[in-house]
Amino acid sequence: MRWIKTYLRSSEGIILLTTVLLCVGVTLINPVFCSAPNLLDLIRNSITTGLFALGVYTALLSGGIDVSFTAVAAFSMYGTVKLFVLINPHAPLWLIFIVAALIGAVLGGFNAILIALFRLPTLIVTLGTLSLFRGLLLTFLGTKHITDIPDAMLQLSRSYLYRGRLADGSLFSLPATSIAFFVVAVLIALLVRLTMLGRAIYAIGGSELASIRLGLPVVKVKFFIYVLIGLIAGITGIVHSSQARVANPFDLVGSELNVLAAVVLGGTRITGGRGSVFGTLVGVFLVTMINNSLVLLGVPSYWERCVIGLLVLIGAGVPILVQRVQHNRNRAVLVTEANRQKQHLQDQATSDP
Amino acid sequence: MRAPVLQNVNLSVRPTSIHCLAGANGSGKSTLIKIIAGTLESDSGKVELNGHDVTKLNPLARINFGLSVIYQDFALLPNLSVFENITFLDSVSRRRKWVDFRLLRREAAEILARMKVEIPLDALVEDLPVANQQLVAIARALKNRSKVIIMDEPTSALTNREVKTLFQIVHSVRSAGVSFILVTHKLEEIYEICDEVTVIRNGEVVNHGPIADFTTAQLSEAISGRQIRIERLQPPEPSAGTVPLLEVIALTGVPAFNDVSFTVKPGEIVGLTGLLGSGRTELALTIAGKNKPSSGSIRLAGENISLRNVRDAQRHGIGYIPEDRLSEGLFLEQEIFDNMLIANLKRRLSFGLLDKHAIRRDGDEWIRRLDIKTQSGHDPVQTLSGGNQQRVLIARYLDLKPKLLILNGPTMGVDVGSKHDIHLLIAELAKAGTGLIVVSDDLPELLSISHRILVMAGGKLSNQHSAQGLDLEALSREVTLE
Repeated sequence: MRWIKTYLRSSEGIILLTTVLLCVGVTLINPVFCSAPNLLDLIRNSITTGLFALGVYTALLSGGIDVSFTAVAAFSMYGTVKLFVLINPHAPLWLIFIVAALIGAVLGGFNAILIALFRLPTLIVTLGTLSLFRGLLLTFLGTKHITDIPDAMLQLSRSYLYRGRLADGSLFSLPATSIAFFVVAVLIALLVRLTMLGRAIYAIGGSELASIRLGLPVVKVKFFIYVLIGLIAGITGIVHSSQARVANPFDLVGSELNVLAAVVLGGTRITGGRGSVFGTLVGVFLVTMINNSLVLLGVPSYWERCVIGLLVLIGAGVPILVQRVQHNRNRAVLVTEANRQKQHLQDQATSDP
Repeated sequence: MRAPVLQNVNLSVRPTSIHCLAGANGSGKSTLIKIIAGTLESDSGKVELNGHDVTKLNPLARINFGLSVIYQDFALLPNLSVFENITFLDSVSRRRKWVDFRLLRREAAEILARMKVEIPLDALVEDLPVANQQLVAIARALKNRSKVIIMDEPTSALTNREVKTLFQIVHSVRSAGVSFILVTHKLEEIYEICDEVTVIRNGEVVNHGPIADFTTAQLSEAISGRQIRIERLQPPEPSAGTVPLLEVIALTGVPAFNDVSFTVKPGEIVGLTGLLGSGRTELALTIAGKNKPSSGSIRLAGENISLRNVRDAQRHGIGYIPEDRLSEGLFLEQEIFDNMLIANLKRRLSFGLLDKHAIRRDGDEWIRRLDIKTQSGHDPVQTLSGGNQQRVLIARYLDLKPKLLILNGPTMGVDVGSKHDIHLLIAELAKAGTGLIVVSDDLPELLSISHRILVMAGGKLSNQHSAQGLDLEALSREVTLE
């Protein structure tokens, strides 16, 4: 029982509780919320934010930040679609994903060079490249919407993991693109929990200086993080435009703050070293739910922004305050324990001849 | 060409011995350690570990040869658990790719059991007290099969009792086949723990040998390069009839201290000591206006005062010099002048703007009076040695012309020579009529400068002694046994 109490006091716990309470509250007011169509709809709408959030999560975990991922995604998505429309509209899906991921990784690599090699501040770099990549996209690749996207992407948009029909005949579904979300989430979770590379990301977020002294390859790890974010962004771009069945170069950019809000709400510290994949997923779900479900409550949609803003302040602020109090208390407990133990050692020393 | 920081230094450490590297601030100890660790390159000379020449190897390779350096900040990962911290370095040097928490936890538990210490394995390192963080750092070195552990000023952040525990652990680890190099300038500690000592001064080895070959006087002279007698420095005690400057009456600050009463006369130096958790720092902070008392009263020159914050206290003429001058006191990157006068800039305005001329004049005056060694008052504080930084901080509070000055650990991390100078300064202030409270763990220091010594234990004032004729042994026993 104690761990439940501790958990509910962590940022992740507080947000999970808020999410559950909000779900219950919304359901009580409007039972439609808890219906299968609405819930599947929520998942569908979390896919893009969720994929982005998983990437940004790794940056925040290492004590950095990335705001350029939307531009990277838009660039790789539009570039890839345009390329395949020109050379082979019938290319297989895996090839499209690989090309987009590669373009994303190259753009992410540009961030990585500036951040890891030149040791420039992450916010400045990615703020710069956000604008730069978007500018390059609109200037050189074009501004027209592409509606005749490659066959495989159209195919993807019509593939479902699950499909149901309501009594009134309307359809609802879980799209196949959610597989991408699921796979990336599992891979990132495995990365940060079970590999030394992932623990190194935590370590760097905790103390970069200590990580250097421990001989961790800090430059390589950082390089990896920003390339990874670019790669995920590339995949996200294709997932997103498949769902929308259009390659829109003006799409995606502008949603950075929403994604960041989701990650921070999920309990990942903006100062690094703290946060989990599960928390991030909860944060994503909460943000999507607010964006989608307030309408069900009859709340005017302008309120969404206010609510998300308030949640970020409360959801990320309260745990910090709680932890500050707890930290002091823990310290006091540990100090008494330490003293007791020292007394014990001293007694031993005096009783030894 | 710049003068070399180190010249022709020879240092050899026997297997399973505790070797002390002693020297004043700025003598080159830290540079020597960095060269041994491999983070700095020497211009000439060799470093050998177990007979292997490692001069050309990088720090990580040297770690794998069995060398560990525990810096003052321990280089721990605050956001990770105790067991992960203990095993992290080992996992890195084994080039592990995957993490098995169960295995790591078991390995860490084994190491701690070998050291005979109990630290909760799952606690986050940032939640641990400093003393336990240090033990985690030692455990990490052992986990990595270190043969030589270098500790930089290992006791500077510990209380007396924690130092005792640390030394017991160092002894037991040594018996298991590990050598230590302890960097320190505290004479008592050198005698208590070390087998051999190497003293460096101005970048050269001035003396070395088994500790038994040195007397305290020889050692302190070797370190500081001048003769220092441990002497009673306090000025004549103020006469019995003097009206108290500060009266603390039944002061209580829940939960740290309870029902504390004492007085300080003008020109009197009162020492305040006690273990970690005894409430002494909280008491000092309360008188300085930083913490609010739960009950009781503070009277200054016969009048009840209530202090809402530090500025309030300063207005009443109470100055407080914090323990941790780096994080609480000084702006390291800013000019010496600005650091000195920041608390009292109002006095140096002309037409509402800062009067640069007045600042220079007053700043230079303090540099001269406190004998701060610097090229220019415009240099950043971080260019100064520890002792001189401490003087800059003292200057700041003296500039406020306090009636009562509270100094918390005034000579912590300061070398023998500077320490003596700071003591003289304190005595001089008392002579001029300032009341002083000196909070310190350093009992010889308190004996040498205070008129009276207050001992706190478990939040209570357990005893008051006149320093006259007080015996160090007796006082030390009283403080450590509570």
